[in-house]
Amino acid sequence: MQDGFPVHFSDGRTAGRISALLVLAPGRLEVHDGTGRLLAGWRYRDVRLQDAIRPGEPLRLSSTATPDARLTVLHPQAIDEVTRQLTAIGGSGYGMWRSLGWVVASGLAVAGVVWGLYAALPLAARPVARAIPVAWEEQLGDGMAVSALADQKICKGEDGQKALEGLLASIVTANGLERRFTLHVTADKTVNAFALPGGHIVLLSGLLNDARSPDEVAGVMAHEMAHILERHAAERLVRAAGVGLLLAWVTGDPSSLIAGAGGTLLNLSYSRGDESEADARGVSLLETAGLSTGGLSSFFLRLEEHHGKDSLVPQLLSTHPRATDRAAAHPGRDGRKPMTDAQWQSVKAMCR
Amino acid sequence: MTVRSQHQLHHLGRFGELVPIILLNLVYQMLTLGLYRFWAITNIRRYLWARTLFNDDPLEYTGTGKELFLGFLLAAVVVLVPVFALQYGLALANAAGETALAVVFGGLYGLLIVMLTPIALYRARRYRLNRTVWRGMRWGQSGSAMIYALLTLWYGFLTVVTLGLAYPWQSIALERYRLGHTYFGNQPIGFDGTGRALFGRWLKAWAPTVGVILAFGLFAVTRYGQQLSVASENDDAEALGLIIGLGMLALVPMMLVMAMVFCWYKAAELRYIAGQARYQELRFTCTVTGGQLAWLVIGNMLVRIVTLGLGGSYTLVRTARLMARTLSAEGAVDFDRVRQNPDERTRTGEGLAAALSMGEF
Repeated sequence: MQDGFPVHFSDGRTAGRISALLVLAPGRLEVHDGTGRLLAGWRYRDVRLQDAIRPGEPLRLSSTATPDARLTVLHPQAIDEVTRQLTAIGGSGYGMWRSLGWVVASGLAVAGVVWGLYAALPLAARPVARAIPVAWEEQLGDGMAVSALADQKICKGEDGQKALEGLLASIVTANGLERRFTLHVTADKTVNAFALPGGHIVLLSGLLNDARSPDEVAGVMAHEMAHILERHAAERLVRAAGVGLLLAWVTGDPSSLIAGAGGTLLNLSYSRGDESEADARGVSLLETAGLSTGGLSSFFLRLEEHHGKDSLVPQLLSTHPRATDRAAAHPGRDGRKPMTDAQWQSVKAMCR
Repeated sequence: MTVRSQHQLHHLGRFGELVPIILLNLVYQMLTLGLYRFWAITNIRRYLWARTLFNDDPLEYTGTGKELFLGFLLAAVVVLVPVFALQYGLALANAAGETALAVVFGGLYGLLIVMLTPIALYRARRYRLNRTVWRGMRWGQSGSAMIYALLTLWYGFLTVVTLGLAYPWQSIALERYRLGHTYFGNQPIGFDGTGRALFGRWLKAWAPTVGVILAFGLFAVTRYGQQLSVASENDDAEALGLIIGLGMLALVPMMLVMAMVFCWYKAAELRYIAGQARYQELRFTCTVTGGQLAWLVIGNMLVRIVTLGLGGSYTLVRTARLMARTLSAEGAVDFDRVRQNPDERTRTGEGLAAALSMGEF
């Protein structure tokens, strides 16, 4: 009959527990019952810690060979001896530090995937935006126009509105466009114009006042029409949705999604690429309609001259390509006048 | 035969032992943009389980962060995609002024969320029990998450319709489903409580609560209603703010008293549930009082505030300590008869709950 250290042993077949004796044999530990019968023989390399090692507390072990069996080592000397054997082999540990390498690697991987998706988003946004039916975009745009114009003062000058709509219609007809366009003129001193999804073009009275000729207004109008035809607004919406989705995915918080989408719905700004594209398409719209194409570039050139150095840079310029570059890209070609002098006067007067 | 009728339950968790785990979790989470949270939860659970001892043998948590992560990914694809799609549909329909469409989307979304929450909770409980081991034997849960969700919906409806009077039936019916489908090893936990047994107690908590709300409303209207309408007619923002502010101020002690009354009821409910549960011949007694519960809740809130939310897992230690201190078990159990739970280990963990960011631990 061998001597041994007192242990508790559960054999992994039932939840029963017996008091037994631990014998430290070479390369393995053995569990004997009171009569010296061998209950278990665990090789040290199969032994796993079931809990952290805490001074003054029992050592709790299992074996990969019989994963449901449990051994509780009670005697301090036996605890020291078993711990030393396990440390010598290594790898049976129970702790958090082991995973540091994996943690860093997966952190980098996550960052990489998120960055990759973010970079791929603009590429994917264009085909997705173009796949959205125009009717959907128009419904959405109508809703957005209603809320965007709700607290704006709409200019009521009928003759001016008619003159602008006539200009718009002539561009539409000459180019054979099949989209619906709606023109809004609001009383606002800012020199700006924008396009909402669904064919809504908003001209601010500041822009009409600042314009020196109807050519310039025609240029800006064609530019905004080009944004709509190129589906830029829809593309922005898809992109915002994608960013929200990505954000929700990373943070695990779906509410950031809705916040992200809501915030960007009414705050669309186009990229420089979009602007250059709208310039080119706008010029071609004017050319096909037989209109002078120099208006857009002369308008931007003058704006930059006026406002180039002070802090009151018009909103229109801040996200747009440099006016001199645009002027160089589209030097302009003469054409027929977009409207009569009388019509031009009524446009100028429409917000008074 | 190792039949035993004296049993002890201890929880040895300590703040000092938890701190290194919390801090390391924090560092790792920052290194991985938050992705480590699944492993962080696992680390905390391993500690909490290991420090809970029944008859000197600890519980073991055998779940892994990988399982939680994979479960999250799975649930994210299966569930979050329709959830996101409906949310977007709802937002777009609203923006486009399509009311009918918005109502349809909103209804579907609401139903999905209402059903998902109890389904996720039940599945998460199954995973946690399945990964809880004592003396090498697994715990387990049978039953169906769908039935549990329907029960939750039905009893929730009853409680609302009866202005809260049916609450004990709701509470006990759900507990009966949970405990009645819980196993340790191959043997079930039994539970035969009824909501009716708690109704008297509930009525004593419910009646004064409703009374106080009515009295407060009545008092507010008769005492300040006149001034309120005058102030709003004159557009007197200052007077209006003062009256509403006073009302809010009165609301705070009222809510506190209501919370205390609820704790007083909830303690009785916990004592009752423990008393109706059994395992073989083992019977349970719980001695928790309303005061102890209230202090637990208040203390846990203070811990969260003082540690800026980082000590969230310490509130679990406090909860486990109170449970171990107030719960005792007596009666014969033949542990040799308890064999391994036949349930397969479920492959992925509580993904749905993680995806909906609930049931943190």
